[in-house]
Amino acid sequence: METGFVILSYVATFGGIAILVAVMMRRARSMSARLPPEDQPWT
Amino acid sequence: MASLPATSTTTTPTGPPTTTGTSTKATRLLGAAAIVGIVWLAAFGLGFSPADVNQRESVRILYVHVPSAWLAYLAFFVTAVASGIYLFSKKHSLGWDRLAGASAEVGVLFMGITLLTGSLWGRVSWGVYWVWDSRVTTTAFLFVTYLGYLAVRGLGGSHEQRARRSAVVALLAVLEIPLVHFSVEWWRPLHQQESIAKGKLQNLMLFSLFVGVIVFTLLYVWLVMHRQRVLAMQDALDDRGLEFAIAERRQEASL
Repeated sequence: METGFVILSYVATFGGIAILVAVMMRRARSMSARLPPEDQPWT
Repeated sequence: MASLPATSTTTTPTGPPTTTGTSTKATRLLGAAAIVGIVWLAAFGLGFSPADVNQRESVRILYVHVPSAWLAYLAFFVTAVASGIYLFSKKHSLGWDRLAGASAEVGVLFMGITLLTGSLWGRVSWGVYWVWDSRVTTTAFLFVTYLGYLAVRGLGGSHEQRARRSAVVALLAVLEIPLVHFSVEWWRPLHQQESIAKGKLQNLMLFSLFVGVIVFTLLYVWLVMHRQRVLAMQDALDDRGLEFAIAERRQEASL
């Protein structure tokens, strides 16, 4: 039982981060396509 | 909001339109380092580090639970510092406000992870997912407070209004962190007390925890850099949307 909870905690941690990253990157690409380069000084 | 003309897409002379998002060489390197670090953490946390005499295998949750709590504290502290700089500097640069917002969002993610992994660990150690002891309750309260901070950021108004009111909330919310941190000393809860300062962790266990802190710090920096840029683009789109709507109305009025 303990091993299951340990693995679940790692999956929840890195899965949660991965979901946030995926949503953020998708949003970033969509916005980047709608803005000129001067509004994206990091490019 | 009115959509922007298609000419705003970035183009290259030789190929189709490219959308770069928020990545740069630095963030790509940081991201790669974070991914390598995650593999390293999983290897140490789940494999190389030994089981504990009392906690047995469940001690492995420590290597994600504690770093995520520390990083949430750090994120909320950065939010407060950036908010203070925005509020008290003469320039009132919105860059500080966006840093505060980005850091708070990432902090809420890490705080959520802390509560979730703590709950799973509690189920193994205490037999229940949740107890209303001082550490757990104050942590949940901190989490809800920063959800409130993000809600305040989402209220209407200009960028400056958003920055001013959310900066005030951030400076008040950060006062909860000492309450959460010292709750284990002040109220003697079910939650265990400080382990690292008291030397309860040694050798590979301490090293695995150190790996966890490094990896989560890399992830924090990487996430905040990207999130800050997304917020900058959101603000630019809001401004340009408004400009575009005004131009459209003027054109309609002149017909």
